[in-house]
Amino acid sequence: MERSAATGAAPSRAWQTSFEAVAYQSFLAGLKRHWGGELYREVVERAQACGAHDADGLEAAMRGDAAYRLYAWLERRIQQLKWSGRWGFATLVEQQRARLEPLLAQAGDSPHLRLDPDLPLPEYVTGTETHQQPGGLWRDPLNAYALAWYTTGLSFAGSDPDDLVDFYAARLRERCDELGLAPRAILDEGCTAGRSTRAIKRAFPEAQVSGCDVCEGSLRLGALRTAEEGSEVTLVQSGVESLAFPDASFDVVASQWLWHELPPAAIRRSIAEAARVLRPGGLFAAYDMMSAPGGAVGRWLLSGYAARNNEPYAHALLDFDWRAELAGAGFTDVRARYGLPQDPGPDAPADLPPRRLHPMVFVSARRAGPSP
Amino acid sequence: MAGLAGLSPADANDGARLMGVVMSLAGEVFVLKAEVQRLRLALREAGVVDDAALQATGAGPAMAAWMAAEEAAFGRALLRPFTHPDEAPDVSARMTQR
Repeated sequence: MERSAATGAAPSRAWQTSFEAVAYQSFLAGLKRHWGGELYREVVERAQACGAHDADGLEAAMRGDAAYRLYAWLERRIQQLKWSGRWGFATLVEQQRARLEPLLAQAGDSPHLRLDPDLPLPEYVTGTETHQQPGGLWRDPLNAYALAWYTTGLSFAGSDPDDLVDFYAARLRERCDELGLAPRAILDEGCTAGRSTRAIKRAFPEAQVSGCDVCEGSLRLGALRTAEEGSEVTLVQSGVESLAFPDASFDVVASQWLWHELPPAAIRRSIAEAARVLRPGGLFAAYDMMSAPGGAVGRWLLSGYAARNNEPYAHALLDFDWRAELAGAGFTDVRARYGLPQDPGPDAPADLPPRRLHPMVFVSARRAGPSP
Repeated sequence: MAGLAGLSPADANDGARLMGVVMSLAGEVFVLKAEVQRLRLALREAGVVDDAALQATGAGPAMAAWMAAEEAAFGRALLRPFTHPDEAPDVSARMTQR
């Protein structure tokens, strides 16, 4: 892959930044730290003292609280400013369309990429503008660059994005080792640009690792990045409710940060599909926000986040009975473990942490049958 | 014609909209501060202006005179929108005159 003449960067990182853009994003990062630190603690303290015991009661009691109003305003608007402000990532990428679009087109010839131009996109993808990104990741392939630029720093979860995917891959490796499972083929669902897929490949260098996602732009960008990193993964355009893979073709099917973006019915269908493509004895895993430490206040904050950051199904995930759903789809040995890089667990904290974090749980189960 | 957009003090979203304007302005201010700091560092590294020279200029009579004139004008202009949110008279009541 040739490096960009304009920036000297590899094609997957070929956006052109400026001093002003760096300063502006630093301003927003500072606001976010205040939001997730001092302001968050003030809101938690007042919410815990207000006497309400469920999310609706907390919302009613706290709606007039100045700290909560500011917290809620910042939770929604910092993200918008990151995308769409004068030096927002979407704004800047759009200004560089003429240079970036041909780079994404190059990826069409990549051996790491398998696109399906006829794939229908799910309504929950096209109707949501997830993370408030203008046009989501589906409307314009170029949007993948905006997300990639966005995730060069701290994610909204406050984690280094590489630390988070390495944590996820390490949990997969750990679980496979416990089970004595040496996977030959692994599928990473909802992979966007394949950062997690390549992390899995690093953790399982002997396995064939594929990632799948519905959004073409992310997969194209991921193919560029895969070649640049010398990774061997394959990225496939496929939905998780109807996987473009044959029966019993994987030993591990896993996802991270996917379930909270799916409505419960879609999660249910994706579990059934995972069971279909897994070999008997294979491992299923999902790493996502399946718990909310801190009781009612924790649930209230998570539901507010879901609404304000355009992740409308995240709240429903708290009530999704994944143990029963997995058992109903023929999975056994269902386990759960809390953890994220800043708070590795394995036990979930009883109380809310001192700064805003996403409570992540690694759920795993085995498809019934002998080990592959 | 009461409640025309832009004339109604009860516009429910005005607070949120104004907050957005304030934060956009804050973003511009932060970038401007960064640019000033960059210029200061560049001048220092090039040996053009050092911290002592900046200090001396800051304490000099020309700067003091500028401060005296600017501080009052700046504060007055900054806060006027709070006490005078709409500088033009509301003449919409005249629209019903026949």
